[in-house]
Amino acid sequence: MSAVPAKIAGFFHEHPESIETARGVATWLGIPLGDVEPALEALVAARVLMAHRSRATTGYSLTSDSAAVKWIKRLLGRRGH
Amino acid sequence: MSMVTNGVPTLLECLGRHPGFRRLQGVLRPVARRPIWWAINLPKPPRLEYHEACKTCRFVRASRAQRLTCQRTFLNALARAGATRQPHTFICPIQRPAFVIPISQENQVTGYVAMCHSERPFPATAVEMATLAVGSVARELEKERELTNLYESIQPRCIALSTVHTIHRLINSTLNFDELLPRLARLCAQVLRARRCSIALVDPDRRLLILKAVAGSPSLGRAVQAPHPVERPLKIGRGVPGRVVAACQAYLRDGVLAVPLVDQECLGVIMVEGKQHEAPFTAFDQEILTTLAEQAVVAITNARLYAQQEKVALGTIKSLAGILDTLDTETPRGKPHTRFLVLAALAIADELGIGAEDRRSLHYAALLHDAGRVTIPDEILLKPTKLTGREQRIVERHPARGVEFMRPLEILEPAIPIILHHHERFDGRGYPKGLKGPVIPLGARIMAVANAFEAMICERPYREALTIEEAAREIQRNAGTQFDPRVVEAFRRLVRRGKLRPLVTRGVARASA
Repeated sequence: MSAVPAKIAGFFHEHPESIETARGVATWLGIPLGDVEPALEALVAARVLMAHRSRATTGYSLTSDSAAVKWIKRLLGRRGH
Repeated sequence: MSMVTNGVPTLLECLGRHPGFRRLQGVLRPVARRPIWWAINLPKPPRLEYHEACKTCRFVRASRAQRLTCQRTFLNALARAGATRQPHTFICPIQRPAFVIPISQENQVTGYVAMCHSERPFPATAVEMATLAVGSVARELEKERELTNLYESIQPRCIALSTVHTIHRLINSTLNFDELLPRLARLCAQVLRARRCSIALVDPDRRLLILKAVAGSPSLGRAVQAPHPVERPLKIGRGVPGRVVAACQAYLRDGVLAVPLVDQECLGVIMVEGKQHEAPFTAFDQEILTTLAEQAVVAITNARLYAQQEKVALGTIKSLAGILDTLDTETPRGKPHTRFLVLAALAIADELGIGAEDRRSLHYAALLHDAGRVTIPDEILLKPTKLTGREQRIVERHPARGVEFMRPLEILEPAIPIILHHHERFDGRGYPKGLKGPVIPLGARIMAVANAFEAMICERPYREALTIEEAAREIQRNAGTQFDPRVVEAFRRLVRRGKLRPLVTRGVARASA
């Protein structure tokens, strides 16, 4: 996992109850929005995150699949998050 | 500078950067030569951890017994400094000068900074300078710690607030009741990290709670599979959800959190069950779910109002369509089958997967598509021979005339392009504008197929009705010329699956009734 997706996964792992827009994630992590948007979609494709899409916005949150959450925890642990 | 850390590395780092402390080091260098610095943290019992710099001390190096003597002397000095909360100077077992400075915060000693192994006696001002530097750094650290504590207590609330804001945007972006409640249940389950979230609304007529949406994680196993207390209508006052609604008060106990949906009266209940990792729901969870419930009430009320408004609008349009149909029926050209046309057009639209807004516009347009036909004289409509140029122009004006009737009704605005262009042909030879291909609104292309189908399968005074299959073949024959091939393909799929036959029965029966 490269740096931006790892940071985003770390954020959602640390705050599993949060549902954030791409702009919100960019603000919390201090990463440019242009880098955050593709990383979020990549994490959704990898089933690390869930996307809640509506016409107004898309909210992202950590997957609720407990096996996936454990895998993310191990991965982030290895990366020292 | 040689230092050892005992739990307060930040203090030493800060001291190392502090200008007063750096000056102190400059003052001490000629006399102390190779001093050993210490930082000792409390409230743990002070413990000296010998480190690399300590190897410069021959006494400590010599034996374990001498090291213990050194420790006793040091701990004594710490105790004295701690008791008086004043710097304390002392002489170590090998007669070298040393000092200890206590770090005090809120009248409590929280640690010490010490220096030993000075080769010669140091000036008294050195201790004063060190005390000032340590005091200044300790104050900075205290501020930093307060900020960290503040951040740590505020950050979860900020993230929760941001989440509530995101949810507000997600749930208020739909006015469709069927979409709203499942979305809300999914979002609540996510935010509360609950195994299951259910939303039940009060049926005011029957005084029952009706389950409207359930969400849960597929990996959660039995909790989701188990029967739900409100899967069947529940009397108000019975079970947790019923009691929450009856009392209009939240319930928090045994891995269940339920809050009422309160507007002017109690509309229903949101209930979450089984927090992940078997953790209990907290008062903070209740606060969050209550906030979400407040947002939900606004969204539910809006969706209900919108549904009511739509019902009124549709009723008005149906009445108008009924009046127009009656006017049409009074002519000798046969009964119109608007209801069948509507059903066929919507079936094609659903087959093509068009969005809810476009579907609604198509629905309105299908009801009123031929409103302008009442302006065509019967002698033209019923003329058995070819129309003259003037007569043809009158016929071609009817969509525009129909649109003129519709314009005052603002709700029909999105339906107007469909009404105006439903006689266009895919090859550009239609009317009124001669639009071609995808430039023709999709709703109008769907209407063209549905309209032609209705005309062919319904009996007219001057010809027999075709069968569905015959009409479908005729429509297929005109795909790419009169009709959009994509729409025809969707229509053919419906015919193949037998989906249009029940509509014919329903639509024609209603029109004949």
